[in-house]
Amino acid sequence: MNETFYPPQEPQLQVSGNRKKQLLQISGLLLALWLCLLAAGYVIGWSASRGREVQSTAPKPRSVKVIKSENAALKKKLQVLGPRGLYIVIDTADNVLYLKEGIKTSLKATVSAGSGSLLVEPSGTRRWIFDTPRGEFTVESKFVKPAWVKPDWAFIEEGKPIPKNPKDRVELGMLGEYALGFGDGYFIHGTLYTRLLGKNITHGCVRVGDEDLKIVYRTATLGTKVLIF
Amino acid sequence: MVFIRLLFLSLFLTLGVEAAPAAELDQLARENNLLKSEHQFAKTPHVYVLFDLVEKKIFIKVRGTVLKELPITSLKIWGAPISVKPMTLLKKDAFIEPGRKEIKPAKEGEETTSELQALQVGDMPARYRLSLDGNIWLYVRPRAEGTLSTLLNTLSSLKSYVIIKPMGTLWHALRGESFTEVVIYLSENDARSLYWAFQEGYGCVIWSE
Repeated sequence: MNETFYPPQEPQLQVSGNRKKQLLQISGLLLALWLCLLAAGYVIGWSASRGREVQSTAPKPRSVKVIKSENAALKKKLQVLGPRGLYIVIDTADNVLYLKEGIKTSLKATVSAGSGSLLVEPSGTRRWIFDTPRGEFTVESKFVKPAWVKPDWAFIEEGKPIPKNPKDRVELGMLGEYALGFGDGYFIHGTLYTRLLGKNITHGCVRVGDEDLKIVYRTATLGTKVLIF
Repeated sequence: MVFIRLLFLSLFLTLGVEAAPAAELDQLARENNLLKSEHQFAKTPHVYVLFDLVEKKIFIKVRGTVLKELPITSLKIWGAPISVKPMTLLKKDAFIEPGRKEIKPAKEGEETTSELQALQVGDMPARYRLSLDGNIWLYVRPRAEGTLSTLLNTLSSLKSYVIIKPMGTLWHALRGESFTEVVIYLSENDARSLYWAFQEGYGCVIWSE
């Protein structure tokens, strides 16, 4: 009779003890598995790093002489691709314009580049992203006292109806004294908002202060390269 | 005995003479690949990036012209060697990604506030991942300045050692692919500038040892 007597709590304690043991075993197994995977990853990675790099598909030139001459030719080709004479560099992150010739910088001007903002027409049919384009461009046009022909987005942004008469789009004085077009309706031009120079606030054009703009206008000619990043 | 010595000497000299051109040829071939890759990008009017991990510099370029140079403070490379070839930035990932600010069109008689809705370089993350083709993950982190940035860099390194390096390698190895993790430390401003300048779809070349 004495053998069948157990305190009531004991079986529960045993069960929870077993569970803990099982949990510990599972955790241990998972940890071991994870460590194995970790080790496998490191072994594979280490052996891969010891291997040679995969060469490009281009056949390897046969001799040192051949490859040296090919490299020299490629360096020349690269040099030719770069801008010749005076060129403009625009850093849209720091809002700076440089006037350069070779590695010499003749002007460093604080400017305003595109805001990167998005405008959606209330009807939802059209949308515009106001980024300054990046890459290589060319000065295609030069204007003194330019007039701004307001595009549709300017009216939408102002909450005004889009005029049917093209003359109603023309606004004077907004672009400053000079403007240099570099394609697709983008210009380097002046600004009324000089206190905002140094900030990304434009609709894609590059706004320059009066004095710096005068130098850029006088120095850059049609065909001058504009490099934007 | 003298004959054996001479034989060894001649063998040594022969091998030495042969080894030098082989190494030179290899280096020249890599340089050739670099120039070819760069030329491929420079032919177009688009911006591309050259990661010179040997000189520890990043060059933002157009038409072969350096537009900006970003010095790398320190770097770590793990995994398969990186081939010198034209690559593309497939994706940029950051914990908090900058979103474009939407201009609310003004109502009639209302002043526009578009001047204030701008995305500045300061809005860009300084800690992010650049996924390049060929399973190359390039992590950009700001140089540790202060307690928070040191702590975040330590946590990122821990994540790299415990998860990314082994698991990334294993995962790609199971799929028969190579995997490389590059961690680059830049100044905070340069890290933001690189995020700004290096857009998805842009080309790049990595020059490493």
